[in-house]
Amino acid sequence: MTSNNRLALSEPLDDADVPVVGMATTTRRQEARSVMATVAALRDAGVGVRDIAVVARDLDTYEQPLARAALHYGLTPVFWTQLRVTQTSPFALVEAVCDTLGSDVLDGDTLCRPLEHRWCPPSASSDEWPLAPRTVQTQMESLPAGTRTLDEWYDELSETDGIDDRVVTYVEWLRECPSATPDAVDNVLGDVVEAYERLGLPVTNARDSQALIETERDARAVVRVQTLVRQLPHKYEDRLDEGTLTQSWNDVADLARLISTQRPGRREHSNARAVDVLEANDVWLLDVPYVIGVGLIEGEWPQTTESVLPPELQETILGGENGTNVLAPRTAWTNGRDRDQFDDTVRAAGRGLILTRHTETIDGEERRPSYLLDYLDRTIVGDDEVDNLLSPERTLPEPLREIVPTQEVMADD
Amino acid sequence: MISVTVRDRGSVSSRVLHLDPVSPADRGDLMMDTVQSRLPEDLTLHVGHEESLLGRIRDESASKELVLAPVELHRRNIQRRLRETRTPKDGVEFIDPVDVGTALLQNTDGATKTIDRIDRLSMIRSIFLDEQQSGIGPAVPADAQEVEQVRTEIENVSGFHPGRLDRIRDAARDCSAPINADSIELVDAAVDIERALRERTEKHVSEVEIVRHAIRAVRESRGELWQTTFPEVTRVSLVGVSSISAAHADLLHILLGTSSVPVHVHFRRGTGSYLSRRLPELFDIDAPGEVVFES
Repeated sequence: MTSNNRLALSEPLDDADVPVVGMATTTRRQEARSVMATVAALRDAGVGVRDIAVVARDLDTYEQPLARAALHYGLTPVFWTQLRVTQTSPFALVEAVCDTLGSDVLDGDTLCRPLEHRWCPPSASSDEWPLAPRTVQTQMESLPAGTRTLDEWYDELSETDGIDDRVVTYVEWLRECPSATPDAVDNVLGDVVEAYERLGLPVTNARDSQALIETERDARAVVRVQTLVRQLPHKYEDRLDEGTLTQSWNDVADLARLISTQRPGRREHSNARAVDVLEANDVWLLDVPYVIGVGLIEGEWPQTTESVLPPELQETILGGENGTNVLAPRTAWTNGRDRDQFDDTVRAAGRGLILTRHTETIDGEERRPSYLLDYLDRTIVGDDEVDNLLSPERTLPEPLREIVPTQEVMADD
Repeated sequence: MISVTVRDRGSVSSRVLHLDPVSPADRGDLMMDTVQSRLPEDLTLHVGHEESLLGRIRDESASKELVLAPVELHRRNIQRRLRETRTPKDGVEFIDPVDVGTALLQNTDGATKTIDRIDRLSMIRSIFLDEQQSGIGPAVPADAQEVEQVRTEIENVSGFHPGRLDRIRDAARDCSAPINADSIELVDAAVDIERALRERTEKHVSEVEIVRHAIRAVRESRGELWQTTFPEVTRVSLVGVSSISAAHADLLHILLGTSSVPVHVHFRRGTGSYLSRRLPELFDIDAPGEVVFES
């Protein structure tokens, strides 16, 4: 069943263009420490932290140990992540409110979008709010076409038949919203998110399955968006002072989107003292002198994804023979994506690549190295040298010293 | 219905660039032969060597490249690299394939609203409650999330295109027993669920359907819709992908078939040599974007 084409997904990857150093420790926690010790030792040797990136396939398992280890070495990590929060309901609500307030004139659909995302008034009770999706739909259909200002909409609503009182309440609230000062951002969006937590979240809960997966996701999103809304006024004020943003709800929405590309509580711009920690899927095209790839362990990188289709059917489609060649091959059925991400990590390193793993679980079970490591010609750091790296002296292991410019060179820079 | 076939004449300007240099020569030659003879004009496939993307933006700054980057942070990486070389970003516009579909549909009578995954899951639950008596086979999972996964996987592979669904049913039938029966049941379930969702909402059932709808609209306008929506765009690229869905393949297909805009696809190295062989074969269908449902 497996065709030649299909075999291309298991061809060896190219070796790295830069020296590769391998390092193994016992536990994940030790591994995280060895990573941050390496960052600190590289910094001691004159490498700027901006010239180092730490890459994990999956930050969920590494964020906490890396953060703890960074603290130990006095480093500030920045955990970059995909814009996941922007795909959540509470974020969509905040965005829709800003967009509505930022429009001089707006059509009926834009006007009602916050209601679609379960906008509720600050003092609302759960009997009447939020509006059911079907109600919002009917209301949107009964609105006249064309764009209007908020005031014009307010006047229009009183003359339109079949308008729900709650829509009028909503438009009144919009009209009373102040212009976008940092304080107003704080108050308005704070209220919006608070009402969502109180009244919107239970809607997700009510229609969720027993496992409550969507509820958990929505609840986490609420926490993230609350953090965002707390940070937003300060950052917005800074940007206004700098003159890089103007006072408008549209710019507030843009800034919210920008901040949301990161985990909460972190900065939104690179600064000179922080070390970037990224997920491997986001590394494509990056070019950083020193890259530290973590977690090169069997079962973690690559990781197989569960599919609901029988493997035999998957194989036929991937093989692309006997007429199946017009079917789009789903590489998620293979470890293709992990191969890509590993190669991206390898290519991102401009001067040196360090790949780490651990050998035991907390319970002392063996963790085997990932076969991806076999594609690369590596120099392995000896156990003694790992111990020295983790000691207070923080001695940079010999294989790493060879790829770091000497202090004199750095001084000349 | 206008059927579009890929321009296959004289593959002079068809190129696969930047294949792995270490690949054994014979394997490379074989690939170049099979791929090149099938590549439509105006399509260039890149495997690795992302610098060619940056170089194109730098060297052809008078033109406008629409960069389709499905991974959000990849856009930031491109911007960072452009900034590092002080390349102006005027010649590039970043966009998600779904946003392309939305922008196109906004220039038609077509609606652009879509329900999200949460809505779909709750609809799937009620569909199952309503149809408990009807014959949903035992191979189909009872959990809404797994049903949704069946739907997305079959959608990913087939785009619910009639020709592709025929092929996937053939492939399912050819599996060994009893896997063949299960496979057919799963394919049918995916189609039934998509149909039931479509019947329950006036919005688009998914963002993928927005893309498909836009593809159909471009096809019916013989490319005019693309031209009026993106008049400034002189080049389109799809970058940083690890797989190609039926919808993305059809989007490229319709663009290549109805416009003269050059298209570049930048694959990553781990899957690139595989996908660069498979992509041209995905253009071997009639009426890209077509679905088995009545619209």
